[in-house]
Amino acid sequence: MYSLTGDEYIEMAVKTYSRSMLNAAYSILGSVPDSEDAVQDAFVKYIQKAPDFKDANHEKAWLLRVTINISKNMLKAKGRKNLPIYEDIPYEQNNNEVLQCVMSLEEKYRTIIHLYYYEDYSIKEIASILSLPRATVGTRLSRGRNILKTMLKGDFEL
Amino acid sequence: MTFKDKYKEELSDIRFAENFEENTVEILRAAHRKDDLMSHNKRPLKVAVLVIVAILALSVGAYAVISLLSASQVAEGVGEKELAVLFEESGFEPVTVKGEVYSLTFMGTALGEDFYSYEEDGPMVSENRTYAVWAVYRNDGEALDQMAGSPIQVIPVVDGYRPDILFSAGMSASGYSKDGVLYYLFEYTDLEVFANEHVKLMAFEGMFPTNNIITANSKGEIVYAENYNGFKAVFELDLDESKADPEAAAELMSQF
Repeated sequence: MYSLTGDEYIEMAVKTYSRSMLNAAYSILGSVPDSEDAVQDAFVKYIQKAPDFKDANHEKAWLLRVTINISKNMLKAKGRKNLPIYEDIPYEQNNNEVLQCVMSLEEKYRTIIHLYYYEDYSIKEIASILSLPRATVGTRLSRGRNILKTMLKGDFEL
Repeated sequence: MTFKDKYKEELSDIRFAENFEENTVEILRAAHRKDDLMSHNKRPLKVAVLVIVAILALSVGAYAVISLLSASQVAEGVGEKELAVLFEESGFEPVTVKGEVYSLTFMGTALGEDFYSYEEDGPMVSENRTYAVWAVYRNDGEALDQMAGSPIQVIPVVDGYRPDILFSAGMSASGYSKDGVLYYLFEYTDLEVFANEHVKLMAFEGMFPTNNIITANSKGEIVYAENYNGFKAVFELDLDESKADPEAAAELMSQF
């Protein structure tokens, strides 16, 4: 629909999508500085590739996907993939009950939980963003949700 | 309060650097100015050539008596201009395997990194894919009917795993016919993650790699079924073991 045209567009993209990308990165990395690095790397890829997007939703989904991939790679590089994040990362905002529970999930669950509950994506959309079969996304969402229900003991409606 | 509301609230409370956006914009502007990256829609892609180290078939050689398109032309013909460049630069020597009825020419292969593509219902990013171009044609010169599809499929297999697992993991093909020859550009899942395993491409007649066509022997090696008498061709892939990613491979295999 449109393509990158210059500095103004960079600024607009950063202002528009940074927070969603930071939150997505944080949901995987659990670290503010690491999340900021991941998002900046994602933006660099964004200007290097300069894709033509169909619309803003398409653009946001692309950026989230790249951010998630970079974050997963960072997690993997640190040997933390699929480990409950609270076990080995000093949690920075440890007074947030719900967030702590989500962050304690394995990465494969919490990424999907994040996209579903924070970004309001459907299972179909998440499957497309993560390049996973819909059934896999549905299963992981269900398992993650069940774990959260147990942890939260019915305090919040899931 | 619902879980969703509470989760959003708590995540929104995370404080990132106040000047994050300004710093990011500056970094990106600097990169923009330095490399003029914005003027390029896509950058050159890395590629490595997969090496065929062994072939099993009824007969092997340069039997094609017809003039085939090049892998680059096939890729361009299906709208994959970047891949066309990769194939053009790869220097891959086509290999033809001739069966009783059909011939199969392995025309080229490439590894794509940082590819991206889009589906109609949303974005799909394909960071790593393995691509191969194949030509299928009859030895008697009779034209193959594109509408009927290719009589021969080529799938990646990994010893020790279910024969059809990478077939199930997803592969796609774009193709067309020209002068009676069917040309296909196949996109497979990233095969490099299996680089420390025994990976090969196996051709067979039919639509699906059923157990009576391709199976596993007692050692876990993927082989043709004993009673299968159709077209056979095995292309072993010499992959860069440094690119092996057992964790990613296991994750992929666990999904199917």
